[in-house]
Amino acid sequence: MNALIKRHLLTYLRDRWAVFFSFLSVLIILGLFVLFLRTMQVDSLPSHLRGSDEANYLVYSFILSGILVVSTVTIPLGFLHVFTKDTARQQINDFYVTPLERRRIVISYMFAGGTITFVLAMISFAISLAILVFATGYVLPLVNIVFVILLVMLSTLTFTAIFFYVTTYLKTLSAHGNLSTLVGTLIGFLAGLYVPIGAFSQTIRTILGLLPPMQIASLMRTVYMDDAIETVFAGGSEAMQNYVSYFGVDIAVFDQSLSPLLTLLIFVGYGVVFTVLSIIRLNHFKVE
Amino acid sequence: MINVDNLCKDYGSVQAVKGISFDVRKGAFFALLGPNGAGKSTTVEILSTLKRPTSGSITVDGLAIGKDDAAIREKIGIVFQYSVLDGLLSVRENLELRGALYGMQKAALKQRIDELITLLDLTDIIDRRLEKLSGGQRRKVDIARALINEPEILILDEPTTGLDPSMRERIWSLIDTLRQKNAMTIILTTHYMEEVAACDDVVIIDKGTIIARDSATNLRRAHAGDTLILSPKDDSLKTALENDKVDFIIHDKTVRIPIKTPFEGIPIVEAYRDKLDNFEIVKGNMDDVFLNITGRRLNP
Repeated sequence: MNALIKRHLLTYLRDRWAVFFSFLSVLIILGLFVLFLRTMQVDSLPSHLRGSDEANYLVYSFILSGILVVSTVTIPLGFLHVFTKDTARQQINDFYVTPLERRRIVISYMFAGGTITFVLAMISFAISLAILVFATGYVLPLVNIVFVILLVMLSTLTFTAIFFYVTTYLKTLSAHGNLSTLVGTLIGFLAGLYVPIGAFSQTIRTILGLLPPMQIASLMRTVYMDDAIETVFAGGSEAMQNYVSYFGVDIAVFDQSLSPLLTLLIFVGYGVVFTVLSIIRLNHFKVE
Repeated sequence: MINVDNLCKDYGSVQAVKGISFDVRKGAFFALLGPNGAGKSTTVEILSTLKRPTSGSITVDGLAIGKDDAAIREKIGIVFQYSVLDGLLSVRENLELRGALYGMQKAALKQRIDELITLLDLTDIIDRRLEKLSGGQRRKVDIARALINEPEILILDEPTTGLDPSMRERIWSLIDTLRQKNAMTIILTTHYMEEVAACDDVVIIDKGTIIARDSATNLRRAHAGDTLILSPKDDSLKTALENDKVDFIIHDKTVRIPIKTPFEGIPIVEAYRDKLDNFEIVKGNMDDVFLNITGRRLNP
């Protein structure tokens, strides 16, 4: 199966447009950040903080943590284009005629998707740390780095499982393209990046809070921005409370605050459910 | 070597294959011939373990399809009608990857690829990306891919579809060479009658059932005799032939009479000489076989 995973990765990585489109949402968010998201963030801070290095640290870590989450959503979907193409164009038949078992052939796409997403997200993370240092002079504490890596891993597993499951239902490349466009457009909202979650009504906040992108974004902010929030707000204040709930570091559903632990459990639940669904779905690929 | 017994395949209410039986002996050059939608590809897909029959069975060297699939897959190499290799990978990468899927070890795989480079003359293209190759070159690589696991049975599913005539010629001479060098059993599906001319065993399949089976030579002898074409001076020839109860058809102002050998034409020409402007005798070809069995053209 290793040869198959290598093949999937090579065909994906050599398709420059596929890789580009996997990162398109990330690039758009970066562009919007430069254009107005940064100003919006800064303006929301108490006036004496604006323009300081501390404020920059906060703003950058908000956007960089968001980008990290978005990349673990859009890369698996972009990668799985390989799977849709192979099934739609019947190229997968060339693997089915080898002695390798069908379920293993199909699941190899999920493994390859998880692998490439994690690796590319880690590269994004390394770049984001470098940006953070150059732009603000702050270095993320080691313990936070470790937690971020664990969350990237978790997010990779969950979204790869979700999109693998969804992709098994796609019959055409245009269906896959449409789904990618939809996810790419919505993800900035679903992760609370384009518009802070606090700007929405309570109903919308509840809906977003129940969906995995907002959950992992909130968890990621909790660990990625922890140090920045400490630095800026120094030990809990009303301003800090306002900030964390407005920008989706903390999230609430049905007006009840979700603790990070509970958020984590729900998010892991999504991952487990979709992994199980994907494994059941493998039966669909047996010889008929 | 291969035994197909009462094979049926339904897609919903459509019966693609309706109970066909045949066997293929070891080393045969076997052809499944028929128009598009006749059930050829379905039969081949079942044989290559891609689909399950609705009923009936296939055994390969005593191994049953559906039970011993992995072992059967080891024995089979298939050239698909459509392209299945990766355009963004080089020819070598494509072959290495597929070889690895058969559990071939690195050294053995390298040796096998070297053999295929020599056999199929791939030296110039082996490290080029597949997407950069011409249609004919790609087909060669498809064949190399099918041979990677040293199969005992090579399945060619419409191998020349989409190729220009000169390329078709070259692919055929390549397949000829392969047959001579390796004692492989070859199964060919095609809707080109002339492509089965070299086959020693041809099954003609139409609408999911077998309508004829013989060697290409015998089929031509039995179903595609020669034709005597007469250009009459006037309508009196027609009347005379009718009176003498000679079978004929009118086509483009000519009168066509089926004959077994050219010599059979001589007495007919002699008998009606004064009613003729001209005459000619044309040899029967493979395309007439299908026409004469079904009353329809193979490729309308």
